[in-house]
Amino acid sequence: MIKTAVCIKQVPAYSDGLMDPNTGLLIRKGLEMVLNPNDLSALETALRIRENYGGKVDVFSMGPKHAEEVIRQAYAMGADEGFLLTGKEFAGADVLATSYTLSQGISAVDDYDLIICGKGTTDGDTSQVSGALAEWLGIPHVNWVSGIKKLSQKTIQLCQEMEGELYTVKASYPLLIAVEREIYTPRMTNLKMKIAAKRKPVKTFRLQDLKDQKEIHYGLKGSATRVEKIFPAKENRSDTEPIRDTAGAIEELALLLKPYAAGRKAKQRVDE
Amino acid sequence: MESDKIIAMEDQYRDYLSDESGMTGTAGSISFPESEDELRSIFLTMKQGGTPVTIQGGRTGIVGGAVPDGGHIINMSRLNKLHKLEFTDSGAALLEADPGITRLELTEGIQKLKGGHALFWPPDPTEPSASLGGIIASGAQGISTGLYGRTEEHIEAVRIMDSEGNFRTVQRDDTDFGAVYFGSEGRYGIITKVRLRLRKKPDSMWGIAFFFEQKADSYQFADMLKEKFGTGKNSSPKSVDAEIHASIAVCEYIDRVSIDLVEERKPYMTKIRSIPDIDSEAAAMIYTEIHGSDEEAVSEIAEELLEISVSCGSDPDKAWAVSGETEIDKMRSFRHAVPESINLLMEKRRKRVPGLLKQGSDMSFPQMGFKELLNLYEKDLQDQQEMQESGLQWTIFGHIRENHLHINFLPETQEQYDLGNELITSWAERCRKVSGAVIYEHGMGKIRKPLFVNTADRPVLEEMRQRKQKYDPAGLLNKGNSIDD
Repeated sequence: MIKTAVCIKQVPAYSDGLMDPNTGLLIRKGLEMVLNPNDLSALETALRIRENYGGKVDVFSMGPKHAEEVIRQAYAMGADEGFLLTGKEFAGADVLATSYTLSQGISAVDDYDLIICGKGTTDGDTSQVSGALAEWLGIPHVNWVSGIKKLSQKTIQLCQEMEGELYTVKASYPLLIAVEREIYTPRMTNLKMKIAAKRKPVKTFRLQDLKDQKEIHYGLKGSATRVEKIFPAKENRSDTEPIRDTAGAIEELALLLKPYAAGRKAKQRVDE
Repeated sequence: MESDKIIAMEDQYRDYLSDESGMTGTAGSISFPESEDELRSIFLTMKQGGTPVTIQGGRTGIVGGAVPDGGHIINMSRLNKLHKLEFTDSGAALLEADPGITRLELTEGIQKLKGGHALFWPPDPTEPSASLGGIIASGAQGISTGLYGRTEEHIEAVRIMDSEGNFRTVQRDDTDFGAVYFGSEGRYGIITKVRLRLRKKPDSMWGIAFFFEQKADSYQFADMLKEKFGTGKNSSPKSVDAEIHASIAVCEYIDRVSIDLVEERKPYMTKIRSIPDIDSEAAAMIYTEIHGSDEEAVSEIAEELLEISVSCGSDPDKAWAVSGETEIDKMRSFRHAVPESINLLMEKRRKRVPGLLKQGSDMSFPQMGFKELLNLYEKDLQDQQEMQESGLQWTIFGHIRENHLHINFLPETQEQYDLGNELITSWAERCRKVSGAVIYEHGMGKIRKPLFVNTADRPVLEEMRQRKQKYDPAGLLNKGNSIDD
């Protein structure tokens, strides 16, 4: 019976990279909001663990009231309970403040065996919250997890992919892992559970519900970073060379790809 | 004079000699006008030399309508801008667009216009690279006609250049619009501008996929759904702007062969790669969408559908349900991947046997039940000895509410291709007898022309010939499409 917490976030479905010049925060108004695609893989990992080894899967999110939608989406995939940390005090949080807020919420609910995060979010894209969260919780963490090899009540064996090399890591609980997006294909939301999710409660945490109620530790006030500018990277198409389907095209293509292939080891996938 | 805009056909333009049907034509030259003035000048130059002209949009048609029959190609893809979005006193949102804009560019462009993020243009023939002009010329309808109405209802006016090079605007209510320009495959004039009627996006959208282990169960579900929620005509909003409380917008049937074809290609398709594999036990899938302004009412319809599906033997734990534009778009992409996968498969087979073109039916039998229609098709497909001996494969997918199914044959030999044509011809005759539509939304082009000519009433064909004489007496526009003049 493994008790798992999954961190999820509501993010814009797409972004033009617009930023509020005064706060340095991404402008999300008017954009369709979705569950961060990387978090779907984290949730799928947790659900598979529950299906194979028993236990429960709870989801945690920090955000405005409408972030409840992603918790309901998690319910429609099979999550047991959902917790939303919400309130103006949490707004504008960077990695430091976000991870601290999540750690406060998670600690308030249960002693989880496993905490699973996605690789990163598609809006902030720092990929640092998972590591920081583990630090706040005082537990070890493993990043770049590309597979679960074996699992028992006390330990877990993971595949970790770094720089094209594949490692097998054995760790004991409590543990935080950040999984790669490709670890598993997330299941679709289920109709029966989606209908039920509309009536299922989402538990809300406000600042006063947390152990540490000092406002300066949360949101913009508790953030150590200030963003000066966000802009989409310029596309550079100047080196695009059309290759026609003519005699010698394959040889030409092979020649162009050669520098990229050199020195790269073939990646090895290890599935569960 | 725009002689520098007229390019002699060279190898680099060979793609423009064909469309998604796989048919290949010939042409002496090609042009890509960027303005109405350029278009006019090019056309008049061609006219002076008596050169026939084929107008092309996105070349996504599957009946050879954009395939040139000699002469010159005018490709409209560079006339692809969105113009002003206006709101009338009654609140209607009207947007002027160039005909070369693709369905995808149109959708994305509307979102970026001031006041456009909450609006959409309902017709969705699912092919994102179809051009607006092509949609109108072929009479394409798409998957949500049942709720939002036919494509022509969402067009306010079209600007036409006639064969003299004169421009005029034809309003939707003008007799000429439906009779002459909508679905007429560019035979009577060139569309140079389109005034679209947009509508407010539904606040809530659910996309639901049901899976059935027995095909017969899916047919029963389809009939029960139609009985409960209507065929679309009854549940459509009374006007194109009327608010929709909650209603079924999309109802699509996809058979197992179609699913397998998509899944084979799925790893290479970015948009649908994240959709998990469909249970191998599923013999058929029915995809529905519910749209409305009331989330609660949308959810209630979903519950009703769930109950019906369970009574038809579908496992409720396996039904998918998504919501929001991004997820709905993904499911529509899956649906669109069906014809796309078939087209790619046929492209491969054509390399071995050049005569194998896209071979799909486009008939609607509105008077029949869904099960009755499928039984009719399957009787011919499965029971005929000739079919069994030939080994010809097929797929079935399409629109449930209009009883408008696309039976696509997947021939590997010329003999199989000929057999497929025989079957389509026999179904067309049956369709005509029950007052169905033999050609519903793909157009006749050059490939389905014989089918149309053989099943259409004589007066209809005569009227088309007379109209051609009136609007294009020299016979220069889109020669070879629909009928032989």
